[in-house]
Amino acid sequence: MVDLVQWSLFLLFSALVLGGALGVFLTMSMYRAGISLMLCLVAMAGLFILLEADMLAVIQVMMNVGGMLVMTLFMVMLMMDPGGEMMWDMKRRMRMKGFGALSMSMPAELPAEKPEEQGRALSPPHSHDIAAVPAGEGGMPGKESLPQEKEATSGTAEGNDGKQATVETTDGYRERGNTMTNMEAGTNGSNTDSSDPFRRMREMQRAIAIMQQQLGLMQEQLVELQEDLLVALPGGGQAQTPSASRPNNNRLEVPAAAHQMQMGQSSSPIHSDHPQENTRSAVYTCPMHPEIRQAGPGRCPKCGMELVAVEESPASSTATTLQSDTSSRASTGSGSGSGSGSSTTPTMYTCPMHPEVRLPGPGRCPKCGMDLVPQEGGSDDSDGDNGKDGSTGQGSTGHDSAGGGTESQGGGHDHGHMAHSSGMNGGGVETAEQMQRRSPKAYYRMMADMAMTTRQLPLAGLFSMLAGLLLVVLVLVVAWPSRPAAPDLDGPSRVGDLLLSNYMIAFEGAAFLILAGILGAVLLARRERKRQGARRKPLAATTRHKQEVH
Amino acid sequence: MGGPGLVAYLVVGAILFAIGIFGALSQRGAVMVLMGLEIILNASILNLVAFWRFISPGDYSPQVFVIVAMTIGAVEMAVGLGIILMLYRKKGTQNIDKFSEMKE
Repeated sequence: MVDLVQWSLFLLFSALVLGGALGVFLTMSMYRAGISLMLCLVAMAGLFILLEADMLAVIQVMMNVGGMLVMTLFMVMLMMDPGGEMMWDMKRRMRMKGFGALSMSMPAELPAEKPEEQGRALSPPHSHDIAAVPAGEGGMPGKESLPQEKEATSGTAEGNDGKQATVETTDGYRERGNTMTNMEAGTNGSNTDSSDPFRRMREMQRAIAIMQQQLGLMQEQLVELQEDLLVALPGGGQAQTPSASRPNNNRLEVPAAAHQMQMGQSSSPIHSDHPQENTRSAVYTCPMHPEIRQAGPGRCPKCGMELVAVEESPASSTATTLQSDTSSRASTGSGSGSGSGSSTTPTMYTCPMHPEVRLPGPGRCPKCGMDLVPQEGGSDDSDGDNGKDGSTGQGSTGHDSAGGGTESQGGGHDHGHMAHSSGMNGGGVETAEQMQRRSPKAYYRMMADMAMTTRQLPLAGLFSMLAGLLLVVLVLVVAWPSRPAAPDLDGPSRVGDLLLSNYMIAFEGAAFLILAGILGAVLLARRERKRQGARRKPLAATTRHKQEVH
Repeated sequence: MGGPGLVAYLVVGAILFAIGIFGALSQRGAVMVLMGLEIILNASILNLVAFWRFISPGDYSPQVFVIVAMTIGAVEMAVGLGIILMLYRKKGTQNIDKFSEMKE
C-alpha cells in the first residue's frame, strides 16, 4: 500500500517535473515559460520529499521558486513580453480569418453605404441624364476634379497626421507618425524595434488601427466630395428610362470619385448605354493582397479572406492619367511605366525586419537570415533607380542607397501608390498597409522567426534526445550499489534539525547571496536607466549609426 | 521491490537533463537559456539527492553539497540575469545571437 502510494506520487511528481521542463521550452511566451519552470521546480521539491530530504525540498521551494521565479518574472516584465497574449491573438486571428476580414474591411464598407443612399435620393431625376453625357464631357469634370480631390485628401491626411501626433505619446512613434514613409519606418524599426518583436508588433497594431481610422475619415471626405460633384455636375430634369438606370448610376459618371471609392464598392455597376462604361468591370481583390485579382467573388488564395469588389478600369484614360499624374507629381525621376499597376511590376521580396532589403526572388535576408516575404509595390526601388524595373536585384549595398533615395520621395510615392491601389491617401498608410498585406501564414512565420527558438531547433532536439537516451541507457545498464533504504535514519525531522543547527551558515549564505544578486541587478538597472535617460538621443544615434555600418 | 528505487529517480534525472540541454541549445533568448541551465542544474541535484538517499542515507554531507550547488545555481542565475539586463539595456535585445561581441 505504501509502495503504491509512493509509486503513484513518484509518477505524478516526475510527470510534473518533466512536463514543466518541456513546457518551459515549448511555449512561445516567456511568461508562461516562467510559470512552467515554477511548476517544474515545485514538483522537484515533491520528489525531494519523496526522497525524505524535505529540508532540501523547503530550500528548493524557498530558493528556486521564490527567488528565481521572482527574478525571472522581473526579467520577463523588463523584456516586455505581453504574457503570451500576442501569440494567443495570432492563433485566434488565424482561426477566425473571416472575422478578421470583416473587421479589416469594415471602415471601407461603412461609408460606402452612404453614397448609395445619396444616390437613391438624388438619382431618380438625374441619373440617366448624367449617364447620357458624352464621353468628352463625362471625362472632363472628372479630370478637373482630380487635383482638387487629391488636395482634399492630402489635406485630410495632414489633418490626420496632426491628430495622430497629438494622440500618440511615445516620441519614437510620433516621429514615425509624422514622416511615416516606408523607408523611414523601416530604418526606425531596424535599429530600435526589430530586436524587440513585441514592441514592434504593438506598434504595427497601432499603425493598423490608425490607418483604419484614417481610412474612415478619408472615405467620409470622399463622400462629401462626391456629393459636391453631383451637385456641381450639369444636369437638368430630363426623362429617364427606368430600365437602363440603376440607382447608383450617377456614381459611375464621376470617374475620379468612383475610382477613389473602389475599395468600398460591393456592386458592379454596368451601364449599357455608354460605350466607356463597358470597359469597366468589377474585379474582386483581397483587402490584404491587392495583387490578387479575380473576375468573380470568392476567397483569397493566399489568406482565405473574402474578396471585395473593386471597380477596375485598366484601359480607361482616367485611371492612367491619375496614375501618371500622381507619380509624376510624386517622384520626379519615375517613368510613366511605374504606375502601370501591380501586375506588371515584378514582385520584390523584402525582409520583414529590414525593409531596405529588396531582392527579386525569395530567399533569406542577408542581414538577419529571415525568410523574405513578397512585397507588393516593388516599384519603389525602380523609382529610385531611374525606372530600371527588372534589374533591381543587386546586392544589399546598392539597395541601401536606393532606399535612401526612396526615403526622400517616400511620401510622394505613397501618394501615387495609394491612389492606385485602394484610393486611400496620406502618409503612414503605406507602412500599415504593407503590414496588413501580409498573409496570416507569413505573419505567423515571421512571428515564429521572432520567437525564442533558434532555427537549429531540430538539431538541438536530436542532440538532446540522443544525450537523454544515452544517459537513460547508462542508468539502466549500470548496476548501482543499492542498500536497503535508510535503515539508520531517524526521520526527516532529524535531518532538518541537523542542517538547521550545524549548517545554518550555508543556508544563510545562500539567502544573502540571492538577496545580493537581486539587489545588484536592480541597482544596476536603475543606474543604467538613469544614465540612459540622460543621454537617450545620442545613444540611439550611435546605435543607428552602428547598424548602418553593419 | 518496494517504492521507486534509485534507477527510477536517475531516469527522471536523465530525461530532465536532456530537456535542459535541449532548452539551452535551442533557445534564442538569454533568459530562456538561463532557464535551461537551471533545469540542468536541478537534474543533477535530483541525482545527488537520489544517490544520497539510496546509497549513504546516514551521511548528511551530500545534502550540504546539494545546498551548496543550489546556492551556486542561484548566484549564477542572479549574475546571469544581471548581465543579461545590462546587455539588454545596452543593445536593446536579449537575443544571444546579437551578443557576439562583449565590447560595445
